[in-house]
Amino acid sequence: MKPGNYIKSSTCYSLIFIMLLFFTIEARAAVVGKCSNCHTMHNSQNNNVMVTYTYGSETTDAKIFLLRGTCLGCHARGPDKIEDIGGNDTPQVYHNDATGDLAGGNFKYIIGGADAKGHNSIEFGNYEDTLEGPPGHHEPDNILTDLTCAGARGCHGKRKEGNPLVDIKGSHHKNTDGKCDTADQVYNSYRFLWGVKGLENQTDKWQNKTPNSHNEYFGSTTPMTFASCNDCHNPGGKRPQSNTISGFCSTCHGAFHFMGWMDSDPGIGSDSISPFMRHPTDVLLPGSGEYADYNGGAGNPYSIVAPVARTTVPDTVSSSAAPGTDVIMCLSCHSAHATDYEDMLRWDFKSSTLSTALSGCNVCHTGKN
Amino acid sequence: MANELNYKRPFIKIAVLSALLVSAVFFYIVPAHAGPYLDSAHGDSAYGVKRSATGFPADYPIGHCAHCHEQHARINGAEPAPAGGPDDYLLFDENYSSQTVDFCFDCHTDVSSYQTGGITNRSYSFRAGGWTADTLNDILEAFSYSSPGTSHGLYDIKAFITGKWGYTADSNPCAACHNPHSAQGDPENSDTAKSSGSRGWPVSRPGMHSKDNNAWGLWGDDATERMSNYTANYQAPYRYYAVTPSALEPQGDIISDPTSASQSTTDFVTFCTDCHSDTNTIYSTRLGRDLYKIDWTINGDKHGGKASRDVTYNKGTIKLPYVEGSATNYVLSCLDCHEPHGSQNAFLLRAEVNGVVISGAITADDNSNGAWTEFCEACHTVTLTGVDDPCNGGHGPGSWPNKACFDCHKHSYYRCPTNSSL
Repeated sequence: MKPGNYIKSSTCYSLIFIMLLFFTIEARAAVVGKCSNCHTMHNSQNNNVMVTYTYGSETTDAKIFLLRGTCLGCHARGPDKIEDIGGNDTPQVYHNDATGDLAGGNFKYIIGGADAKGHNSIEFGNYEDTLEGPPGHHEPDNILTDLTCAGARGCHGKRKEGNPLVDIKGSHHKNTDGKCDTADQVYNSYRFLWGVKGLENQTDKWQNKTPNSHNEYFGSTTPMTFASCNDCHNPGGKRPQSNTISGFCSTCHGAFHFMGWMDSDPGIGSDSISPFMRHPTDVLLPGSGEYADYNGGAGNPYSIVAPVARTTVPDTVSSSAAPGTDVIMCLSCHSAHATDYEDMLRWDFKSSTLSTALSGCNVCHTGKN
Repeated sequence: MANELNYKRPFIKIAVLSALLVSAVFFYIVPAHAGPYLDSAHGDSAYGVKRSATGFPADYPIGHCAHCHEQHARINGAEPAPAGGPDDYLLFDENYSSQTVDFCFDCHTDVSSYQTGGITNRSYSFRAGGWTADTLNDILEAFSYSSPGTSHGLYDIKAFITGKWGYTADSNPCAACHNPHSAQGDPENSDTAKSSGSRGWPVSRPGMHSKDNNAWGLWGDDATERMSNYTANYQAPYRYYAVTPSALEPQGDIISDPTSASQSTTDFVTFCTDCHSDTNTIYSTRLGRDLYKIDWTINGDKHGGKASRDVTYNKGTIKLPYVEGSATNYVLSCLDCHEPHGSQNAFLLRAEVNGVVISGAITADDNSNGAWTEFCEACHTVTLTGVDDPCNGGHGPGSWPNKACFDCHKHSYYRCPTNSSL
């Protein structure tokens, strides 16, 4: 083969491969396969119940929307962190996969009484015993400790209705996988978090695995300023006006994010300039001083221990951070579901080895090691 | 195609090896960054910060950030003591309020300290001077002196530094001299006087202040930041002695080795004159006036670089370890005479100087108890003959010794209008 023909044929094969790859990704973006994979007409087939995707003591009686299961029935069936359900890769928020956890962590860490290690969704049956409600939420607090995966007291979906499945209805069918920069519906929001933008990792789905393979979170250079209840509450449900992941967390943990908060609480302070009164989020990781050396300096490789958010939703994952451009977010320190460390932190901040305990802090605070 | 693959194999090997080499270099570089916090007194894993407070977990390791900083002003759903809401810099209490209400004093006190086991901080006279009978044992106490005692005025410090060197109206006045993320104990975690094996470096120059902890380093930790580097004419004073002197400040070097003593004394002249210079105007709320400006050059104070020798005047003699004729002019370190935080005397004057303990409290403008005389005579012998004569050095017995030395001798002040050497 002549060198020129070799290059041409290689290019063609590459293009075809890439097209196939994208076609495959797009095809897997939303749930595919038979309806009966997820739905059952009568919850009865050959004298067997068809509601088989349940967790723990959840019943197998008929479910809303003719579903064959519950949230945890599909997403906490393990043992692998990604399970195949009817031909669909399905992330497992509770699993025993030794190869690591998903980006949100692993709810297994709260089972057995370690309440502080995660969000204690009541679906798991492990109730919060210490807190009386989400820390930083307003008074009176009507969330209490009855957290659910979705629904009015949950995170996923529109967060309006009492039944979590109602709030997330239809999203699996229309899921916008990958870049979510619209976020006006649940299905086109990042991870079905209504109103949140971001880029979902397509290389190692649902995972923050390496500096080259991770989700890209959306942030802002200015935290939300409390103005009214509508900052979070909307006739359609609850969502952050900022569309940021930190703003999303603040819909329950408002005092930890807002500039100025209710109940005479200052939030993080009156502005987005140091000194802060609480650790800020949706503020720039400064481009000078110790912060310029984020994660070892020299190119600032993206840290999956203390990740940063981007102020625009990128098209592709970047393997580096940009002090002075990227921003701090709640997920810079915490995971969303649960980790093996208290307060859902991403590193062992109570390690008896001080350098280990500070290791996550030192990704940004490089002069404090 | 087979030939092509054979042809490419060496390149593939090179590419793989190059990638491995780049990766190795990358991983080597990343951990090379290290900061000073873990070497500091607060960040020491054995005796660093360890908060003990209601609602604060007992299992945070010693030296952890959370002992001083509360990320959300809540732990386990409630704010640990002291309550009152979040504070600047995420501190667990108010940053600064007054001379005796400052975040640092929440731990640096001997009464209800939040530090597990408390903290003992001694005076410079204790640590460098070896006067271990000094009962002062905490920083709050040192900043709480009232007349005739004096303390460094935190309000005035804060007013002076605001807007300078990166300090802002939010800065804690203690941070004018100390970098809390770098400062070391001197001596470290010990209730004894300094020794060569227990040294640390507690101060950072205000003039070099930076919010970047990597940039705002310690002062004195480098050999070029010692009195030996500032002047060849520094002689460390005696340490406290009951009968016979045997050691020099600041770390107990033997008297016959003044070079080591000079080489181990922080250059406090450069440090202090960042603020107390011959140009800066610093108002003292306590004194109700601007402080005297300090000129430590050859054109300024005689305790500084200015030549002092003129034997025609009845100026008395100097005492050991200072020797007449052995140097053209001794240049003192500020802390040879002054405490940095506060003392029971006026002008933060030390209660122990050149090995001598002053029996009474020095009052600014009165020497009726002889304390001024004791203080100055720790280094000088004053001969009481003749008449008071400011231009000829006379100390007449008629008015002496009840006259406060300070009446005539003070920084950048010349009693004799016709002879600036006096």
